[in-house]
Amino acid sequence: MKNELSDYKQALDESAIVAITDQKGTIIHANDNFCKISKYSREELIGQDHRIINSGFHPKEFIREIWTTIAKGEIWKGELKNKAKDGTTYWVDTTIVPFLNEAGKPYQYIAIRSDITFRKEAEENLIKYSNALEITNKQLVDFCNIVSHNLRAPLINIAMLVDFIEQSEDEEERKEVQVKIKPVINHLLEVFNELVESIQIQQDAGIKIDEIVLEDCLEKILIGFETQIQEYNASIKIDLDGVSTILSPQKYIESIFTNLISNALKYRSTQRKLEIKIKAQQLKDTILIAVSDNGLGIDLNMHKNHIFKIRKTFHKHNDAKGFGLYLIKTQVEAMGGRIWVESTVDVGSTFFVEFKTLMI
Amino acid sequence: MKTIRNMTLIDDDDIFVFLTKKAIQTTNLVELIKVFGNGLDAINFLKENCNNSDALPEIILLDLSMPIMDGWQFLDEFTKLAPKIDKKITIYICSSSISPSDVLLAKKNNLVSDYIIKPVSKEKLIELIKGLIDAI
Repeated sequence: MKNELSDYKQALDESAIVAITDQKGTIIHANDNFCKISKYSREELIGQDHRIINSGFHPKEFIREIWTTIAKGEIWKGELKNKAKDGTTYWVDTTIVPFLNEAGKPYQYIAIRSDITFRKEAEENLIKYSNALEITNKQLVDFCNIVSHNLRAPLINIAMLVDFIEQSEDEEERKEVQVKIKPVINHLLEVFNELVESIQIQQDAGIKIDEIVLEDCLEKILIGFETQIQEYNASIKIDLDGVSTILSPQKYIESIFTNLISNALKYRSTQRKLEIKIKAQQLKDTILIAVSDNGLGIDLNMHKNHIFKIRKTFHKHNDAKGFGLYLIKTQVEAMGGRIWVESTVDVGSTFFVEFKTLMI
Repeated sequence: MKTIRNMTLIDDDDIFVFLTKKAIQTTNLVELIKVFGNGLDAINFLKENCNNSDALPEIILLDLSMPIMDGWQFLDEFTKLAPKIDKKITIYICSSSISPSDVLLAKKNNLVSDYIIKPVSKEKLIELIKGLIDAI
C-alpha cells in the first residue's frame, strides 16, 4: 500500500504542477514542475504566501470565490493566470483539493495544475482574429450596400435621362433634360472617389504610424477653422488631462478631428453660443477622446444605426454629404479603435473615439 | 376617363422626381402630384391632413434612402398613423437598391404593395396607376 502511494506521488509529480499550502495559504510543498513554471527555486517558494504567484489578472471577487469554496472543504476547479518570478505570466488548469481534519475542517490544500498557456494564447488569438473578421465582414456588407445603392442610383439616373432624350421629340425639352446629365456624372464620380478612398483605408494595413503630439495636432486643426470659430463666436475648451501623445497615422488623426470639429461647427444651434469641448483620458489599454458640442444633436432613436453609414445625413444642411463620419469610422477601425456617439436633440452631441495605446 | 386625384412621391432623387412627374403628366391619369424630399416632411403632412381625405394621396411612391427620415422609418411612422386615416393609401417602394435584404424587408411589410427597382419605365407607371384606378 505504502509503495503504491509513493508510486502515485511520483506519477503525479511527473505529470502535474503540484503545490501544497497550509490553511492560511503559506506554501509548504512545491514540486519540480511548480519551480520550473514559476521560475522560483524551492527555497524561495517554501514559506511564502501563495499570493506570490498572483498575476492580478483575475478580479478580486473571483479569487475570493476560490477561497470561500475551498475553506468550506469543497474542491475548486478552474483556469488561472499566474505570474512567474520574472514577471511573465502563464495559464494553468487548476484543481484545488482541501485536506480535511477529523472535524471536517481543511488543514492543508493541494493545488494540482497543468500548463495551458499555449491553448489560452491560441484562444486569445482566435478571439482577436474573429473580432477583426467581424469588422471586415461588416465593412464588406457596407461596401455591397454602397455599390448596390449609392453607385447604382446615379447610373440609373443617367440611363433614365438618356432614354428620355432619345424618346423626346421636342427639341426644347431635350435641351432641358440634357443639362441634367452632367451634375449626375459629377455626383457619380464623387461617390466613386469616396468609395475608393474608404477601400484604401481598409487596405492601409502597412500605413506608417506616427507618434502624434495631441496638443500640436489640435492647434494646427483649429487654426484651419479660425474664421468660422470667430464668426460664430464659438468657445473651444481643451482638456488633455496629461495625455500628450497618441499613436496614429498623421492623416487619420487629422481627418478624425477635422471632421468632428467641422460637424460641431456645421450643426450648431442658433439658440446658443457654440461650445466645443475636447477631452482626452488615459484608460487601461486605451486613450479615450471625447469631442462634445451643444449643437442641434441627433435623434438617436431614429438614426442610431445610420450615424456612421455612408451618405446618411440627419439635418437639412446644404453641405451635408454623409461621408465624414463614415470615413472616420473606417479610419478608427483600421487602427483597431472604436467610435460611438451620445446625443440629445437640441442639447448636443458627444463623439467618443477610443485609440489603442499599443499597436499590434 | 377615370383618374387618380393625388399621387405622392417621397424621394430625394431630383432626377427621378423630375422624370417621373414628366412621364405621369403626359398620361393625364393623375390630377395632382405632390413631392416630399424626405420621410419626415411627408409624415408631417399626412399627420396634419389625416382627417382631410381630399388632401391625402391614393398612391405613394416611396424611396428608401433619404436624409433625415428614410423610407423604412417613414413606414414605421406610417404604421402608427394608418389606423387614424380613413382612406386607402397604396404604397410602392421605389428604390435603386438591388440589395436582397431591402427587397425581403419590403415583402414582409403589409403596408407595402410591391418593391419596384429603379429605373421605373413610363409603361410600368401607367400599369400601376391603371391597376389602382380599376380597383377603386
